[in-house]
Amino acid sequence: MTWHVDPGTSAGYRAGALPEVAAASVEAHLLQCASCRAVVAATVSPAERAAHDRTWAAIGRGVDTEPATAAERLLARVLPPHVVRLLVAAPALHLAWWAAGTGLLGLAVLASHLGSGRAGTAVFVVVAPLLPLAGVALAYGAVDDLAGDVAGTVPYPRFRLLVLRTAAVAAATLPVAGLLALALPGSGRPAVLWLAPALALCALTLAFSARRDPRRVATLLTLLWLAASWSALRPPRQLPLLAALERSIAFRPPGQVALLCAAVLALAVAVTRRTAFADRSRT
Amino acid sequence: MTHPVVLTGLGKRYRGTTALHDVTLDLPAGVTGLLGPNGAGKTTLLRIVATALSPSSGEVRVGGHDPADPSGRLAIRRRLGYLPQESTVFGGFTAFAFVDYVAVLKEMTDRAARHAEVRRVLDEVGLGDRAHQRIRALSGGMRRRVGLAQALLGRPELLVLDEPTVGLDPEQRLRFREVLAGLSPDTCVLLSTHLTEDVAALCPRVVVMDRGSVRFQGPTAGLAALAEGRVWDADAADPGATVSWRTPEGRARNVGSPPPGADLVPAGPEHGYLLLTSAASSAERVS
Repeated sequence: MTWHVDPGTSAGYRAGALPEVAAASVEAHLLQCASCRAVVAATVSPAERAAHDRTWAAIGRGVDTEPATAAERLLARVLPPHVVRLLVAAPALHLAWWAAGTGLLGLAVLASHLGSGRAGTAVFVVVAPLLPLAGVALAYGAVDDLAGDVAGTVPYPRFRLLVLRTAAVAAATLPVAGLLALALPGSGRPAVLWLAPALALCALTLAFSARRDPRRVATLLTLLWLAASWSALRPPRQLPLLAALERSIAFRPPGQVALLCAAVLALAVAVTRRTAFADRSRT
Repeated sequence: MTHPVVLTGLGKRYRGTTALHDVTLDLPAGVTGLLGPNGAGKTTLLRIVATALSPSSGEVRVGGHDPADPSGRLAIRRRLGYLPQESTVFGGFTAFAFVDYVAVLKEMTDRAARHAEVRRVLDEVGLGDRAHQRIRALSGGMRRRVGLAQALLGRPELLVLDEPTVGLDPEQRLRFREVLAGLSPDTCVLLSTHLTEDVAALCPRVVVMDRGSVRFQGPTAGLAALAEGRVWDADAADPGATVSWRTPEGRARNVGSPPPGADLVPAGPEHGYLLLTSAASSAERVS
């Protein structure tokens, strides 16, 4: 290093009056020379210093903020930023969204290719409730996937995190399932028969997960649901679709009401036992 | 004055195995080292203090709060920083995004203030320039420092650190000591290690654990004093010594009851520690 910034050059640099090449030389020198940085800093007024601090803070914020994904921007319109942070950060949630969404589309394609369309619609009505359930189980089966053991020692309620993830999966999958159901052959009342069981299965998974692994709960509920709705899977040709589906009690009006009641009851139980969610990992 | 952490008759059993047995401790503000061999129950004890685990028996009070009570547990968690032994952190995060995620879980909802705090703790552990690197691309020591950074969020009153110096090189250990030295004197730090030099350098107080029980608690100088006059060098390992090893100078250092005229050397905390843990092993072998 053969030269240092003299007061005149320093004043010119600070005022932006130096030619571009000279300013670049001064800048390169300042990056390496602490004493010249101190000389330049001494000539900066408090007002200029405050403006620089504001600029640096803005740069810091810009650097610290990772580019928002489309999902993040969409969620940020309806949810507080810190809640969006919790949702979009979870890889398990991405997996759940993809699995449930892909499953639904696959199911719709399968249903549209089955027989006359009646059989396909029956398969859709029976299987569609299981896809949000699978998404929910995937989404919070690994609730500690991000922060490991630390997640069990933070004040943020575990129950709230689970409800957030459940709601995120349900909000992404239920409308898609609804639209697909409307597009199926023979839709009408059968097109909504999947909704009550879907809500009940998601809510029951949430309630039982206070004490049990959600993935096991979801597997058990899947088996129970398939057993309860098996008779509707192969509708006889002579019966109209609705009558064929109603061979299973789950699709008759009392069964649908019971499933909706089960959903409400399960949610109430989950809310009243919310502290148990935090305790599950403490034993 | 009430101590920040008070444990009374604490026990923990896992499927028939006793991990902790009748542990009673009063931990004041300042740094306390938890020393013990593998399987001594250190991690179990730290997880109980950090509210990650409930004890099978006994009482825990942290800042006067009972973690068995949900409101007490919440109050403790709001004052706690915890570095677990296993950092099973999602590697897809950048260091900044991970610490920011934990900050949200620690109820820091204001984005600008939260980001400023995240930058502060990352600078504190010397990772300010690596903040936007993915965790999976960081070295083991750097990942450990990311874990330490999240523990420091919000300047916690109680800091529970499980093996914080594992994977750190000598320079990083020095930096870690500076971080601890920079904490408020009112902060209660409980850190576990199996390195006696860590305790000598970092902790004015020490608790020695072995097989789920407390063998010693008190000033670190007191641990060294236990072995005063009981460490000697000889040409060969003394069969009467509790423990012996070869020194770099080729002599045998012995800890135990010295023979008359032994060449005594000054005792350090590691000698007191060895005397406690090896004596327990010997007693067990004899019985």
